[in-house]
Amino acid sequence: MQNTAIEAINLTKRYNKLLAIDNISFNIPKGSIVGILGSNGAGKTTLIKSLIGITKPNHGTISLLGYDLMKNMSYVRDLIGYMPQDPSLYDDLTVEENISFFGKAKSKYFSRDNLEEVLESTELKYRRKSKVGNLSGGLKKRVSLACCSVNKPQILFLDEPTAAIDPILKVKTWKIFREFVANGKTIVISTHLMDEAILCDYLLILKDGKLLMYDTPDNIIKGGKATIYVNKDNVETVQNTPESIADTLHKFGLNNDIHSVQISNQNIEDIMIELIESKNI
Amino acid sequence: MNIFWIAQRVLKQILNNKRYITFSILAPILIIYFLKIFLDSLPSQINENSYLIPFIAFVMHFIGFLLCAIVLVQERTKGTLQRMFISNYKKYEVIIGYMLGYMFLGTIQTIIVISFSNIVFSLKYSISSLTMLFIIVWVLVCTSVMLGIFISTFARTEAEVIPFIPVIILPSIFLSGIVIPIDKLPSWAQSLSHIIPMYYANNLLQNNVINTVNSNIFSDSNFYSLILFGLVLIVVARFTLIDTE
Ligand SMILES: Nc1ncnc2c1ncn2[C@@H]1O[C@H](COP(=O)(O)OP(=O)(O)OP(=O)(O)O)[C@@H](O)[C@H]1O
Ligand SMILES: [Mg+2]
Repeated sequence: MQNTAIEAINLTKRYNKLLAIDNISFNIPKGSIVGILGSNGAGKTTLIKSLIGITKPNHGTISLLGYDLMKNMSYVRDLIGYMPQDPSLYDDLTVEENISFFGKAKSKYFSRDNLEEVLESTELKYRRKSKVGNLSGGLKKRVSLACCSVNKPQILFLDEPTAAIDPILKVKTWKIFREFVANGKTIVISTHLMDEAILCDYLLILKDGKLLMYDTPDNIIKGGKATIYVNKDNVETVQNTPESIADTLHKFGLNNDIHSVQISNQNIEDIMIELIESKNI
Repeated sequence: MNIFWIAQRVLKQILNNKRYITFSILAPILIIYFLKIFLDSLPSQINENSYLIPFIAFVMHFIGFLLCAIVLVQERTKGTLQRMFISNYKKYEVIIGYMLGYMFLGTIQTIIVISFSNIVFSLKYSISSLTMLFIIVWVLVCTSVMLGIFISTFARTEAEVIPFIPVIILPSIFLSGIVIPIDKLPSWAQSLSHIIPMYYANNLLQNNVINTVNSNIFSDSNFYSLILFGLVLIVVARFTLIDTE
């Protein structure tokens, strides 16, 4: 049983002189949600497009589910779904017509039931007969998500899927993502939202096409700093890493003169900002 | 099967869009109407048919080309073309799907326009010449679609299709023999007419539908030239449909 969903080795993509992806290697295990983070222009979209073969990398190899992408393009494309950053839908067709049109290309993985199910989960049933051109931005995003998930692919690549989706539906969408990966499927998601980042199993942080970090959100937070506020008669502030919290507290000696102790970990956003701004590689 | 889904989608897209459908039905009718007025103003001994029918074919050719080019530019800029490829639609399926969709549209247009010109011109066509007319229009519409796909590569926005309109219209009208007889053209222009699909279509219409010199188009070399032209364009169109960046 193959446990790797995605394997990228020495991936490089150059647009003229601009290095959009700079020699990146990583492995993504099946059954996980991987978040790609990075500022605008960091290379998130380019990385996703390379992983599905829309953009040809200048260098490096990609395998999806154990198949070399370039050699098995047509076969692999039946197993994946891709949601582009822009909606990419037919404005003159209805919601239902758009979803069926893209779904039917993989006839093996398409049925009436699939269509009903995906309309249900993206809460588009009540707009199924509306022309896509008349929908709001968030609704279009939902149609776009429905189009790529209707075939129940093994790997879903989603470029900022929840960017314009309202908070209530976003929570539901994440629940669906979790159910989706529960049976061994994989989701790759790019996002700017830190509340989403911590919901991922792994985070892949990009800067100027380079891979800054690839780890679990927990480990990334552990690696960040913690601030300890100890009130010993008057307020003192101490900064250090979480591993030495005990050592730090030790120094104060826990006696009656300690009124309160407060520990606040750096959140993922602070760590991200620090990472992106400090490391000048 | 995928070819059929694409054809169906192309048609739905045109039929759901009021502007496209008005343009593709109303424009030919208006052109035929004014052509009638124009022909009436000329000395009476000319054969109206020999202008009318090639014009109908030309209008189909032009509208097919224009709609196809615009729709394809939209597919490229919106990213739906890329999405089709990612969904595993193949290049040849896209090309043939488009062709079928527009052939169907061309058929509806032709039926409407022929019925209309029957009323305005009170013309009578035999079943066999109508059949010939449809076959010629179908092949011609296929070349329009290929030209549309080809031209769409050179335009980044719908507006950038506009400069290509005269490139298609002018030679198709003046060098195809519809208006000016080919032997009256200077020799450089005569050789140019051989790379214009309307030239072969006009010959076919003159020989088989209007004057019935031939009994059927399948023994007319112009028919095979037009098909060959279409095949070459399919190959060209296939290479202009790029699925990677
Ligand atoms: N087709 C292209 N031609 C030239 N340069 C490109 C092309 N596509 C992307 N780039 C460049 O590659 C870099 C990475 O772009 P990319 O779209 O991957 O960024 P991103 O991380 O997705 O940004 P955003 O958060 O804005 O979506 C940018 O500098 C961009 O200008
Ligand atoms: Mg992007």
